[in-house]
This record gives sequence, C-alpha cells and structure tokens, in this order.
Amino acid sequence: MSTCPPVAGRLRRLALCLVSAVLGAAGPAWAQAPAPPSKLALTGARIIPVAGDDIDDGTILIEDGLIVAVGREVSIPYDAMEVDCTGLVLMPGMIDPDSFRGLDIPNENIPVVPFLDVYDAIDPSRLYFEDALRSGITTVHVMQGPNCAISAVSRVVRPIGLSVGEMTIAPEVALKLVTSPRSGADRMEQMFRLRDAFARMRYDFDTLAETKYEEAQKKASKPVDVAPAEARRRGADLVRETDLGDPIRNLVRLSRGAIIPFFHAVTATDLRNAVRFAEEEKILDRAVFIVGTDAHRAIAELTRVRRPVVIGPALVERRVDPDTEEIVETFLPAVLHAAGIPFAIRPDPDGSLAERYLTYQAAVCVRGGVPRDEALRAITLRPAEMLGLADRLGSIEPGKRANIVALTGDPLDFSSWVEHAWIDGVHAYDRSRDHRLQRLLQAGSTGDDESGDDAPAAERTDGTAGAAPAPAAPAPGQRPGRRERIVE
Amino acid sequence: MIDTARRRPADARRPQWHRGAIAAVLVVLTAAPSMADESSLAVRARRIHTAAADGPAVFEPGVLIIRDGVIAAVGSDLSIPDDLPLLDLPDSVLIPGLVAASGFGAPHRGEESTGAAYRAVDAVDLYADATAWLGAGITTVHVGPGEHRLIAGRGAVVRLFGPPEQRLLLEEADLSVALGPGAWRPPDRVEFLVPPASDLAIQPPVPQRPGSRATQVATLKGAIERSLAGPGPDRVHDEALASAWRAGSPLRIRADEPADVHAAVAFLLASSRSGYVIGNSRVVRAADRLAEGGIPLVHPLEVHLNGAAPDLGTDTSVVDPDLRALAGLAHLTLAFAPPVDQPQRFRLAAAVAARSGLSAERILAAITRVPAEILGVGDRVGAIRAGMDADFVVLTDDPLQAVAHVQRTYVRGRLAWRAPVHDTLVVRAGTIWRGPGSVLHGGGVLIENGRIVEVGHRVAQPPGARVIDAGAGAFLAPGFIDARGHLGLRGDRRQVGPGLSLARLIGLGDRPEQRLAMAGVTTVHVTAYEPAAGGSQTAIVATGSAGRSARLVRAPGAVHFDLRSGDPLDAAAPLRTRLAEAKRYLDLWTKYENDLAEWTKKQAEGASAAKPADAPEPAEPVVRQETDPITGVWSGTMSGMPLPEPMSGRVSLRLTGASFEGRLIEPATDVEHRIVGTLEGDRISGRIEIETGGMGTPSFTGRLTGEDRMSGQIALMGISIAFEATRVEKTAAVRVLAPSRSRARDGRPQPPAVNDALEPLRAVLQGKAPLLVEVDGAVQIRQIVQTASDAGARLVLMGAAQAHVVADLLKEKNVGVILPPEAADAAGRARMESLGRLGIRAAFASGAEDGARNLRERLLAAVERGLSPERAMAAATMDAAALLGIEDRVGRIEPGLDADLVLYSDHPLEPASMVRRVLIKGEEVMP
Repeated sequence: MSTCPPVAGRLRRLALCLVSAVLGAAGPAWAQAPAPPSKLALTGARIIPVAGDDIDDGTILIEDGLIVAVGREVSIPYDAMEVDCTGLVLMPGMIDPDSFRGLDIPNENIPVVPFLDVYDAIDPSRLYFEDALRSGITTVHVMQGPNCAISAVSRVVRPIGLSVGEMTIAPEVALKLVTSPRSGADRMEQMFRLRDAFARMRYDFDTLAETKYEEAQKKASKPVDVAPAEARRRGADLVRETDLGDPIRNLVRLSRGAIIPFFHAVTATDLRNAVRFAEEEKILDRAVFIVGTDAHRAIAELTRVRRPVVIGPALVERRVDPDTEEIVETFLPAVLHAAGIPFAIRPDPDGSLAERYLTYQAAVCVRGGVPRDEALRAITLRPAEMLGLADRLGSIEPGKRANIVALTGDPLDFSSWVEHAWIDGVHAYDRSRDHRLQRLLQAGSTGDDESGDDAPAAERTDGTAGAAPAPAAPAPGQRPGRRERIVE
Repeated sequence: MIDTARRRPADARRPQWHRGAIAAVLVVLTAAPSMADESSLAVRARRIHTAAADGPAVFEPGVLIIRDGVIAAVGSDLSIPDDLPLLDLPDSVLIPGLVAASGFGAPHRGEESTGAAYRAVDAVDLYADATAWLGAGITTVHVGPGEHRLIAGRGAVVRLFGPPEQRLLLEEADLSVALGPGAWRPPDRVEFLVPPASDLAIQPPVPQRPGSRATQVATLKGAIERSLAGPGPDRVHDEALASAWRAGSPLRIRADEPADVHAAVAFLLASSRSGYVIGNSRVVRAADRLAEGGIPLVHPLEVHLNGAAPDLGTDTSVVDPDLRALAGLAHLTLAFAPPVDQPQRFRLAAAVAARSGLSAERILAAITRVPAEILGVGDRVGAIRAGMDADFVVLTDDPLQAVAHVQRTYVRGRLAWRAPVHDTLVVRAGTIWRGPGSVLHGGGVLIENGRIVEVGHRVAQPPGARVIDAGAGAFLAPGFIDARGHLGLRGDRRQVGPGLSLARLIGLGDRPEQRLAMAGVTTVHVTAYEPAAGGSQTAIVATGSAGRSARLVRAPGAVHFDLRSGDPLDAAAPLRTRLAEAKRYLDLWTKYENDLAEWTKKQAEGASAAKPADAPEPAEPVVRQETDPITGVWSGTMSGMPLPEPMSGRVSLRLTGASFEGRLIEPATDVEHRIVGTLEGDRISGRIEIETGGMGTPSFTGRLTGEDRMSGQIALMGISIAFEATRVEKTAAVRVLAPSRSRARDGRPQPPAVNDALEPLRAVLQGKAPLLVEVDGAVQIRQIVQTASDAGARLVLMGAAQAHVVADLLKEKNVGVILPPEAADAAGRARMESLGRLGIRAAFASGAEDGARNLRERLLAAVERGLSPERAMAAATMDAAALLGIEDRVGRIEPGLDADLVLYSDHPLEPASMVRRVLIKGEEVMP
C-alpha cells in the first residue's frame, strides 16, 4: 500500500483549485445541460417522507434546490416545471454513512493522521459515485478505511460534480478513531495510540495556551503572575483555530465538538474500549460507533450510553457453539431496535449484489423484526442525524435539500428500481438516460454481451461525474471491466 | 447471556430471523442493568476443600451457602435455609476456582522498551466464551501485556465468566517487568515526523536499552527516575509509569536465570516495593533467595504430553524440574501457573508436582489461594470461605487425583460450565463382591451405556462421567436373581399355553418392580403359576429399566413343565412326546438352514447355470396335511343314568403336543366353557371347564378305541355318564403346511412355517434355553434327567425334594436345582447341606410376585441352616444366572455384563445390612 504524500496532496489541491476557478466561470460541469428550473413540482407520486406519514398522490414543490412544500394539496406556481411522477414512489435520497470507496487510496500507513483531509484523496471520477447514484444514494460520507488509529478528517459529498469542492456538502465532518486491532497493531497498541495522540494534543494545546496568555499579557503590558496551570486555563480561550498547528488542529476541534468522532469498533470488546475512551476524553456526546455484528454482546454498554451506531453490510452474526456445534444466529438490527439504539446501515458496494442496495438492507431489517419506518430511517434520516446534517438531509420536509429518489415501487420491494434521482433539485439521474446501464441491459437482452463492442463502460476519462454518463466511444478489445457492478 | 439464543435445535441451521429477533430481545432483557440474576443457592457436597489459610482445610460432608454470588457460610453441618435452592452433589468434591497467575495474554506489538502505558486490559475480550478454561476449572486469570520488554505495561486480573464489569477484578494489577534475554535488545525506534516535511531530515533509528543483563536493572531504575522527574518525550508511558510507581503497584518481575532473581530481589528490597517473581525451571535454583527476601514465586508448571520431544538436551531440569527445592522452603510463598503449552492441564500438572514432596494442601493453595493473594485479589477469590465470591469447581474426586475431572464450574454462584452429559457412570465402594471368591477391597466400577466396562481399584473416569461414591463402608454386589417368580402376572393363575410368550406381559416397571429392585432383586425369572401340559414359556426380566424392551433379559427364559402329578412310573412320558415333536420341528429348520447355506454358497459361487429364468414354473404347492388322533370335529352321544334319553352333539378338539383343547359346537351354547385334556398313548383325560353353580368341574376319562373313535366317561359329583364319539372331520384344525417344492423362483429355499408352540422347545434343543421341570421324587428325577440328556437339553429341576438322594447323578449331568420356598425342617436342612457339600448348582426361587422381596431373608435362613454365605451369595447371583443360561448378562460384576448393581451398607448377608442404592443397567432406581 502506498501513501499519498501530503505534500503532493497539497499541490494537487492547489491545482484543483485553479482548475475549478477556471471552470467555475462556466458553471458546474454536470449542469452544462440547460440550467435546472428554479421551481420544480413532482406530482402524482406516493411520497415516503420518512419524517411523517406516507402521502398518496402527493406533490413535492422544490424551489432553488430546496423543498418548499410537501403534501396532497400543494398549489403549483405557474412558473414551476411540473414532473408527473404518477406510479412512482418518492423517498429521500439515501445516505451512505461511511464509505472509503470515493478515495483513490483508502488508507494511510502511519497510524495517526488527523492532519490529513480526505479532500486530497477523493476522486470525483470514481465509478463508485455513479453506482451510488444508480442505487439511490444521494449523499456519501467519505472516510478513510480502518487501518489507522486516527485517520484523516472526513467529508460529506454528493455523488455528482466535477471537483471535490463542487461535490462537497459538508467539509471536515468526522475523524475515524479505531479501537479494533488492525494489521500490525493489537488492541493494546491501538488504545495506546489513541491515548498517546490525545495526550500529545493536550500538551501541545496547553503549551500554546500558555504562550497565548503570556503574549496577551505582554501586549497589555501586564506581568505574567499566575502559575503555569492557571496561565494555560486562561490562555485556552485565547487560542483560535487558526493558531492550531496541523498535527493537533482536528483533534482539538474534535474535543471541542466541532468534529464528530466515528469510532471503528468491530467486536464487542472494541466497542467497550471505544465507549470507555470516549468517556475518558469526554467526546461521547457526539460519538458514533461503527460496529460489527458482534456488537450485540456489548448491548448493555450501548444501552447505557445511547449513542447511534453504524452497522452493516453484514447484519447477522453466526456463531458456532463450541460444545454443540450448533449455529447460533443473532440479528443485530433487531437487538439494536429492541434496545432503542438508533442505527444507520452501510451498503457493501463490493459485496453480493443484494447488499449493494440500502433498500435491500432495510428490507432485511423489516424481515428480521425491525419496524418499517425505523428500517427506512436507518438509510436516510439516521445517518443524517449522525453527521449533524439532519436539518438539511434525510427526509422530505420543507426546508430540506431536495434530494429525492423516485422508485418504480415500494423501496423495500426488491423488484423496485431507481428511475430518477434529484439532488438539490437537479435531475441527477434518469434511468432511461443511464447509457451504461441501458447498454448492459440491452446486451443482456440480445445475448450480445460477450462481444467487445458493448464495453465502453470501464473507466471514464473525462472526469464527469453524475447523472447521465455519456456513451463513450467503443473501445475495441476492451473488456467490460465493471459490467457486473451494475447489472442485476 | 447468550445462552438464551443458543437453545436452538441442531437442525435449524437456516436463517430464522424471527427467532433471532426474539433471541435479541431476550439478550437485551437479560443484559438490562438490573442484573437481578446474581445467584443465591446452597450446595451440599461430599467434601469441600476450602484452601483457606486459616480454619478447616476440608469439610466433609460440606455445605456451602451462597447469597448474591458471595459465600455466606461454609461448614459441615449447616442447616440449609428454606429460601435457597439446594444443589445436592453427594458424590462430588468442591474446590475453589483455580487461579492462573501467569500464561494469559499476548505480547503487545509496540516497540518501546519501557512502555508502561500498554494496558493488558485493553486487549482482554471480556465477552469471550472461555469454555475451554472454565472446563479445566480455571476461573480467574492474570492477563499480561507480554514479557518481551523491560517494562511491557500493566497486567490485569480478570474472571472468565459473567458480564464484563463483573469479570474485571483489577484493571491495572501490576507493572510488568521482564529481566532476562527475552527483553534485551528491543527494536530500534524510528520517529516519524508528522506531518512530514521535505525540509526536515528523517532521523536515523534510535537503539534502545537494555542490551544485556548488565544494563537491565540500570535501565529500569533510569526509566522510573526519569518518569518521576516529569514527562519526557514518551509522555504517556512516562505518566503511566510514574503513576503506577506512586500508586505502589506491585512489580511483576519475569526472571529467566537465578541471576535475574537475585537482581529482582535486590531491586525490590532496595526500593521497598511489593512484587513477585515469575520463574521457570532454572529459577527454582534461586528460590531460597526469594524465600529469604519474602518475595513470592509464581512457578509455571510443566507437563510433557505433546508427543516425543526430539531432543531434550542435557538440561535434566527440562524433563523433571526439581521442585524438591521448593518443597524444602516452607516460608516461600509459592504459586503455580498453568503449563505454558497446555494451560488446560493446570490441575493435572499440579497433581504431578506432589512428587516433589509438597503437601497436598500446599499444592491446592498454590493453584488457588496463593496466586489470588499474589495478584492482589485474595480477598475475593481463591478460597472457599465466608465473604469470598462464590467461584468454585465441582470435581468428581479429590483435586490431586489423576482420575478426577471437572463436572461443573461456578462463577459468582452461577453455573459457568458443565461437563457434557455422557452415559457414563463410575460407582465406587469400599468392598466390591465381583462374584464367588472374588472380592475387591476399595475400588470402582465403570459403566457405559448400561454395561460394566471396567472393574478395579482405580477405574477410568472419562470426562463427563457421573460418579457415585458410596464410601469405604459400602458393599457393592450384583443384584440378586429370583430363579422362579411370578412378577407382573398380578395374580393371574391361568394356565399359559405353549405358544404364548410371557415377555408380552412385561410392562414398564411399576411399584412392585420398584419394591423388588429396592430389596436388591434385579432379575426375575417369570414363570406361569401353572404350566400347560405341553410346557409353558417363561421370561427373564429386569425389575427396572428405561423402557419395556430394555427390561427383557431373555425370552423364552425356559420351557416349563410340571411333571409332579404324572404317571409315577413314567414321569418323563409327556416330556418325551413333546421333545420328539420339537425334534421333528427342529429338523425342518435344520434342513432349511442347511439348504439355505448351500444355496447361499452356490449363489456366491456364481451359479449362472441355474438362472432363475431357466427354471421351470414351480408346480402348485401341495399342502401336506398332517393329521393327529384328536384334532377335528367329533360327533357323539352321551348316555347314562341321569339322562332320560341319549343326547347327541358335536365338539371340536385340537391337539397341541400332548394336550388338547376344545369346545361344544352342537347344541350351540352361549355358556362360557372349555374342554381341556391330555392324550397319553391312547388314553384321554381332562375336564370340562364350565360354571356349574358349585357342583364342581366335570372331568372325563376315556380312550381312543380305534382310528377316529373314542369312548369314555364324564364324571360330575359322583355321577358318571358314558360317551362315544366318532371323528367326522379331520381337516378342520390341521394346518401344517409343507410346500412340496420348498424353493422359490430363484431357488432360494423357503423357511418352514413357524410354530409358536414349538419355537421355545426348539430353543431348548438348540441349547439356547433350559428345560425347567417341576418334579419331586428321586425315581422321577432319574427318568427326567435321562430324557433331557437324551434330547441334549439343558435341565433345571425345580422343587426336587429328593435331589440330595440323586446328587451324584445331578452333579454328573450338571443339572441345577431351583430351591422352592420351604419350611425349616430337617429334610430341608439335609438337602441344603448336601447340595452345599456336593457342589450342585442351586438357586433360590420366591414363587411369588413382589413377595420376592424376602429373597435375602431366605438366604439368611439358608445360611443359618448350614449353607456357607459365599455359596448363598453365589446361589442368588452367579449360579442362578448360570442355571438360567444368562451368565453372560448378569450375576457378577465383570466387564461386559449388565450393570445391575446393589449398594449395601454392609455385606448383604449381615442381617443389619441395608440396601442403599440400586442400579439396573446403569440406571439408578429411585425409591
């Protein structure tokens, strides 16, 4: 595994800034088609707003990318573009709560890197973003993988846009703190790394605060006549974020509550360690725990702290009883629901076909005993809440961003598919214009799927991300490398 | 906690999330913070080894009172509070849960030579299923951060069962220090510059100390002094070290050589720190230094069970570490740790350590109380005394016995582990009477699947085996055999026809069977009260068992004749007739079996020439009708004094063997009746069973006056009526089918028709069952012995009042005698003496149903009359089994036999001896 040297990252960031400055004059690339209407009315559809009851034959009125009205009796302004969605089901765009797949390299090889930002590694041309859109995901929380004790600061993005800046919904959202053992580090070392990083952060901060206090006193021509501890206390308020050095800035912001700690804790023991650490460092009140199916063992711990968790893609724990060799299965979402723990579900873009779809994961939850509305929240509103974006995302309510997915049927019906998606009111996905998908479906229907001429879909080089992938020129001899990622 | 989710049938292996959801809810409910399932119970056991430093070391019997997971009281004669459930383990031994002071925890991967901030507790899986260790009796372990660095970090002490908070005994139990080559030359440290910058050079790796024995203590001291002076670059480590040092955390020092021990002792004494040393076989040589300094030693035991070591080198201590040095140091605080490679053998390895001369008490303490004290949790675990946590282990035997194994493990009064249930049982007793002339003093019997597998002073105790320890005073003997009883007939005195198997009457054991079993009688030879003239079948049954079929020992048990009232000059005549019939029947079968064997052989040789297709169509099978002089419909007339005129009528008769049965056909009647008679030569005799209103039973005598003709008299109350009859139909009841072509299409020989009435006699002629004959006189005995001998049948006499007269013959022909209940007269005494003296096999019969309970009293009476107790025991057990031909099933305590065992408080022929427990086929009979 190689690391992107941060220096190079900076350079690239600069280059990207320049590029976007140049392009910015021309407007977003995905909107090079006619500019979207400022007013949009989606009518005649069954609406699942997630917040509130379902609405049959309802209308969603969108103005300047925001939802302004939802309901049966919505008067449509004369200048609004009306889209007849009769027969479709509209639900909030789904949110992937933790994905490293938008990154060119998912992990670092040094253990503590809170000074890095995934901004430098997000690749807008990743096919993942296109696939996400295809399956109804309109928001992605891009984090690094779990190979560091403390990884780079994360970012919430839309799966459309030419540059990272254009994609960004919220920058510097969360830090991933890993208590699970990883290659080359056991639990003891992981915990030590975390404690060590926070201890160093506090020491550096105290030193800075003391300096700040002394400077302030000097400026006011007052003597420094307090003990160093008191000086640090007084100086703490004088430290501005811009004063903080790279190594500690994000950690300080984390302890101040400006950045969300996402603990990666696969087993029950890791979860317990993570909870203890969050309590020690007093960062529990915003903490989110990414857990494995083993987490049900530590349900008492979770019940005590009542913090949200991210689960998936596996939802069932299978354990073989050592004595009887019986297979014992535990369905984690049901355990969490019974304990009243809010949870969000991660999809598995590389896994089996079904688990790529959050709707499928939600349906599995319902089958396992989770109420339908809770299962739907787990793929929409819950992740928005965890990311502190519930005021903007996660449901169809007036005032929220117009991230809406139109399905051909009930979202929990596996035979439903995504027909349209709107992101901030922009028609970001139209299945009939999804040329990659159309070609593959066509190839499947004619049985002509093995010849080379239907294989343009491997990698796009034009850098466009988004709604309607243009049919690329046939590349003779090129295998359809990603074909299986989108056919069913 | 997960147990609730675990109770799923093995076949339910497909995802069932509804169940999963229920399980999930249960998990949540059980994990609710209330945790109200802290256990309260009382335990009664054979022995409790307390391992406590003061107070009694052993309570026998022991009672343990546990409230809320804590021991409230322990003693010998505590009364059990009414509100507590009682766990009664009368055959088990309790010891404290074992404490492993070393051997758990993997080394951390950090590079720092002095990394005090590494906490082993971070790596402990407090949710783990520690079945393997709990099954070995280990309930508390020390988890270390490793022994690969000078200061590896801080260890923890955890329990292996319960919710996480309960498992944590000490989060930061000690400061783990390692002296010796293992901690030398730690990896060089590379400092990454974060964030990296192009204008700053990457620093070369910095080597760390210690590099050798010379620098290790200095490095240790230096690290401590530096940390106390204030945090350096290794901020977290320094703070952790300083706080551990200031808090007086004990030093856990791993020592590799005696030199390291000396250094450790000097360091601890100089810095006046508490601490202990983890040793090895070499360190034992410096144990005296530890004893002098008052510093405890944790010695990891060694077992060598992993196959042959290729080369053990010249260091003899590797094979047999000399623990005698430790035994001599009475003041050394010594704890054992589990063998490094096989921690589950902790108890066994400690038991082996007894070779060194260490006392059993000290060894038990060294695996329980002392390690707990050394680790700083001695106030909570390691001993069974009031106030301690109820962590204990239930063993089958004393802890230092190799055969002992863990049955259950309790943590905080909750069952943490239980041995898988096996159908294996070990019964131990002070005296085991295996059979005549074979007595074992102090031993056990291993029983598997209802059979005895092993008998000896020390028998195997497979893990999971149940153990019944009856104590040194107990006497174990095979169950008694009632050689002739009527158990289960429930007073039904009807004759039992030759074709009816008594085995059909056997039900599940009920109260009478239970009473009999609890009287020590485990096997009964059930016979009809009165046998049919043609001989009745008997059955041999156990007096208790799991199921109906399991109760049956053998059927037919014997074929039973009563020849006491026959022709005194030819008592054996009916027997002879019957045996002759049986012989013909047997011959049919023998022929069939020979044919079949030949046919099979031919088939095997590939008799392609005799293709079935080539064979001609078989001819119509001819039914050969075998007629006898009686069977058929007889038409006759009765005439005589009371009858005004002759009456005519028809009767149907059927001959079976020498006896016949029949009923009136004309004039038709609804009155219940039966004609029963016997045919001897041409003479017939019998009676008409009919309700006559108190006038008695009509009887008849007569003779066959020619083919199909008979005449005679019917007598009732002194009145006699003559009758004459001719047979008008012969075929009615004669159905002996003998296919003329006894071959099927493929030439396979067809078996003869089964004759239920003759089957038991076939078994007799084949030697599978004996012939049981009731007879008294010496002359008759001679005749019968001769007849049986001619037919090749094994004979058992019953009654045989004059048996002692013909004792020589009986002995010569190996004929046994079943002694009926009798009066204590002179004849009885003489017979008993002679039988005893002459060595004729004799058995005792109750002739009763559950009255057989007095069998032991009868033995006592026989002993009083001169039978030796040993012969009396033999008569009731092995000899009875031999007479009945079931010596391969019951009668002794030997491998392969059924585990029908009776535990007495003393020798069963001591009048005061009581039956304590009874096992039938390994199942305990519950009174």
